[in-house]
Amino acid sequence: MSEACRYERDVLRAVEENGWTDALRVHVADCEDCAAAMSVAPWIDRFAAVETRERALPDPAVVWLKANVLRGTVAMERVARPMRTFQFVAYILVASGWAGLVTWKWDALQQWLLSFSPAQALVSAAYAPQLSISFFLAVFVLSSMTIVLALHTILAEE
Amino acid sequence: MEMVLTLPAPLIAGTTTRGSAPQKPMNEAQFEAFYRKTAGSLWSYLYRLVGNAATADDLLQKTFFRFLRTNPSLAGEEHIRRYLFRTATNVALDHFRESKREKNIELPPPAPVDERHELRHDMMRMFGELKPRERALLWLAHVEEADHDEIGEALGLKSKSVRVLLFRARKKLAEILKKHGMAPEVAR
Repeated sequence: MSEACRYERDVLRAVEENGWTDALRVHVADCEDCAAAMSVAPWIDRFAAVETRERALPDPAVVWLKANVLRGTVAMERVARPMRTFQFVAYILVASGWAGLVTWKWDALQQWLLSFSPAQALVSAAYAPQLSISFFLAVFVLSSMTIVLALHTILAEE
Repeated sequence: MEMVLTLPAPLIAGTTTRGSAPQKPMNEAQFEAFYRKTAGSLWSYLYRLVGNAATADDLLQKTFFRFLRTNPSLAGEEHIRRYLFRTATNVALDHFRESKREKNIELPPPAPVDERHELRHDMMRMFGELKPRERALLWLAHVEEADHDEIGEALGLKSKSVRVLLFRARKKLAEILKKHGMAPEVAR
């Protein structure tokens, strides 16, 4: 069973048009492919002839319009892809920055948080021996980046 | 103003012949004429695959959306028609994968209202006992009169496999018909 039987189409046509020839009859008796085709062909022909559509097909003008809209959406997604990648990288950078900073100054932060009181907060923070200017600078930079990123995300969504 | 799809994507393979000038993409009027010529038979095919008219409508539109994304021209209309059936088959099989209902066809409403509906319902139920790929094979071979190469192209199969699978699908359908007391009499 490697190649299609060359009489298959003739057999199907003979079933459809009731146009059997002696040669075809002999062939069908020997060819199991054609015999199988012949056994279901009348039913499939009837099945295909049964009207199944009860309403009109979708309007071609609507299909055309929707295809154009979808095409625009696809193009927009393609353009926005580098921006989304950049945004993702920025999220990772800011999150790792915060994680690194907290890990770096964990002991000092813990000490500062434990001695935290509303009145003394800024004073103790400013005089905390282990929290240097560079730490506060890093906090400032990361905070700014976080805010910018958040604003960008919100505005981009809108 | 008439819109023309002008995606930079290449035209469907075979719609241009080597060495000849590329064909212009279809405009709206050409698409409409092509749609009217092909959509009916494509819908019938999809309906027989999924067994639900609303789903067939959706899949028909999806098929044409995908088709239009390829920036089709009118050259090689027969080739485009084959491409369309291949796309429809993929769309339908995607649908089955998504809804994980490969084994069960969505049956039409269970209470047929007249004889014509009853006949359709029974036939759809019997056809639904086949797997989606078997339904596609039989429909393409018998109704669309596609040869084994074309069926293989539409279903992503080698034409040698088409012969074997088609034989099995026919045998299986014959068994189903027999089980329901509908083994057809063939005039010979």
